[in-house]
Amino acid sequence: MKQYLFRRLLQSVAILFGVSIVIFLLIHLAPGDPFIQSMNPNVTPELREKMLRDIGYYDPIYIQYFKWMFSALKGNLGYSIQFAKPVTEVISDYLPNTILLGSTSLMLSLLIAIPAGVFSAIRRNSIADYGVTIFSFIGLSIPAFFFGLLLIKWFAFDWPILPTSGMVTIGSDYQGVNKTLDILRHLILPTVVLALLHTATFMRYTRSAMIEVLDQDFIRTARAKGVREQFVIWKHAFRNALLSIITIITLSIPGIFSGAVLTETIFVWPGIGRVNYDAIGRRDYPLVMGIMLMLAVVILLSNLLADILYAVADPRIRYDEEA
Amino acid sequence: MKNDILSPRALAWKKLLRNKLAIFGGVLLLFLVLSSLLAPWIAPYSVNEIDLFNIESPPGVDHLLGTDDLGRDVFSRLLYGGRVSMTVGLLASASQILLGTLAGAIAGYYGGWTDSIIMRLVDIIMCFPFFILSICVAALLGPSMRNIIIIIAVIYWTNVARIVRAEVLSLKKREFIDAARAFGLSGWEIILQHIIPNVMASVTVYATLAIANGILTEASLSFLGLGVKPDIPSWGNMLSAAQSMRVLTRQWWLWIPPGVLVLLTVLSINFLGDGIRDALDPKLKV
Repeated sequence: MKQYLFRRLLQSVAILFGVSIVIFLLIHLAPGDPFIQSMNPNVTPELREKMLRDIGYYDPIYIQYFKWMFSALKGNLGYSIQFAKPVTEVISDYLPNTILLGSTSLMLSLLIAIPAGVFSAIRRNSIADYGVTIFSFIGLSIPAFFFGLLLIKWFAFDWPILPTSGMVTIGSDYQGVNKTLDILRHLILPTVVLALLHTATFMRYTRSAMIEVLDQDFIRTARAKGVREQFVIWKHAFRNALLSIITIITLSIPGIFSGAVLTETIFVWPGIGRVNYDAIGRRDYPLVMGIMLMLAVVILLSNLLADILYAVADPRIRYDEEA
Repeated sequence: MKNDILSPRALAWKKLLRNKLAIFGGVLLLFLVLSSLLAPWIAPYSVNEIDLFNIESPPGVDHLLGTDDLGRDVFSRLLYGGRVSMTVGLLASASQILLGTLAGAIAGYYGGWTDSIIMRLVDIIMCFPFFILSICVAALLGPSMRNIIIIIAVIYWTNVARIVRAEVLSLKKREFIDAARAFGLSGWEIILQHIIPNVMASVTVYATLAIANGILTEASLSFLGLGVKPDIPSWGNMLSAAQSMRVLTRQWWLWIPPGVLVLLTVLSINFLGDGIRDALDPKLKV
């Protein structure tokens, strides 16, 4: 196990290295020159050239890459042009908002998806099961932004009860409990939109994982021994299904960040997805590179976590063979 | 009762035809595809025909689904827009399947260094959240229908490659591959004639779902202004009208119909794809 962990960790570092090369090349192929545009146009050409030379503008591309990578390793991701602040500071300003949105929507989707998935697995082929299946198909098929727009139309205009943009009411100066309540009210609609897709996915996984477990012999044995049905379902079956459910939750973390881009853009939620979208539009390349690198680390860690959970829970997995 | 023995293909068809949701999806999809294909004959107006007396008019007798800010007929543009959205879905799916199947088959069949290089590339691409990478690339390449197809193909072939590689690894150990090799066939001949036909079943399922995904991606990117340019109607760029608060709140006919069409198309493809998956799964009984 230790050896397996060590090898996976090493592999992740190697992949991260590749990711950093891809990000760097992608940004360098981009049109426009943010450095020249951000300079004072009154500076003399000689001074300008000296300044550019000082920041390494004329270095060969691989030197520029290594400079970027080594300072990134030291935790320095450069300066954001748009915010005039270090990239790491911008990320730490906005990331918590995305994490707040992502984790509440993850919780909401689990609260709905797990009971619904278990229920439809128990009542296989009943009307309720069909209902759950059709709902999850609709959840997978509706464009998230379209769903968001419908909610905005309904709850902001036709029946104005919820705020649809931002994180706090503009011009208000709430403190303490009122501030929390204000944020919660703003959180509702984006959470629902972001949760929809994952709710659908989790439902389908929970349902099929439960069906697979419920068909096994040890469930029949438990029932034959006279174990109460509630116990059979939650203690015997669900525990075993939980493994694949946990894996799919871990693997959906990148999707939450991806989904956050559109959701945050529509609801003007001040999170990392919206900042990234704006940064691309404004050609704030250091910020884009920093965000992408950070997200790649998050994805690698969640994949690693999924593998570890899987390996811990299922001793049949062999560590020496690459699947 | 006579004892039928069905070929695997007949069995799959029988299973598919018993799946109510798949039938519903298939019929709905057929209807949507036909109405886009026959757009020039069905549409009451041409794509860019401007009716200056009816600008932003609500649905009525003259214009079934109203008109947009330039006085163009929304219903006609929806029919033509379906062609663009479905073309993006089809071509994006076909190109990622082509790339992914080849890469996966080569990696799985040759193994060793070739395999390591291809699969590490897959790992690297999979490290980017799809949507963030695609808006980045879309912003770099500029908005166009061709670029969307390229973006989807370049990012998504990795899924196909993984599926195909896993299947090839198990196929490789079978006797018929040994036999082919004993006949003196080259690696390429074995891959193209013996391996790829055998992975087509699982690839078909993936391809169906990839079309649905492509349509969704087109809609999202065009909504953000990074997809199909506004001069050709697509469901996605028609939806981007809803970025204006006035349209969003008062002119529902400009954005709800394209959104509903995306939903219905993707839903019908998903129903059908899921039905095909079940039909091809030998573990599921009729």
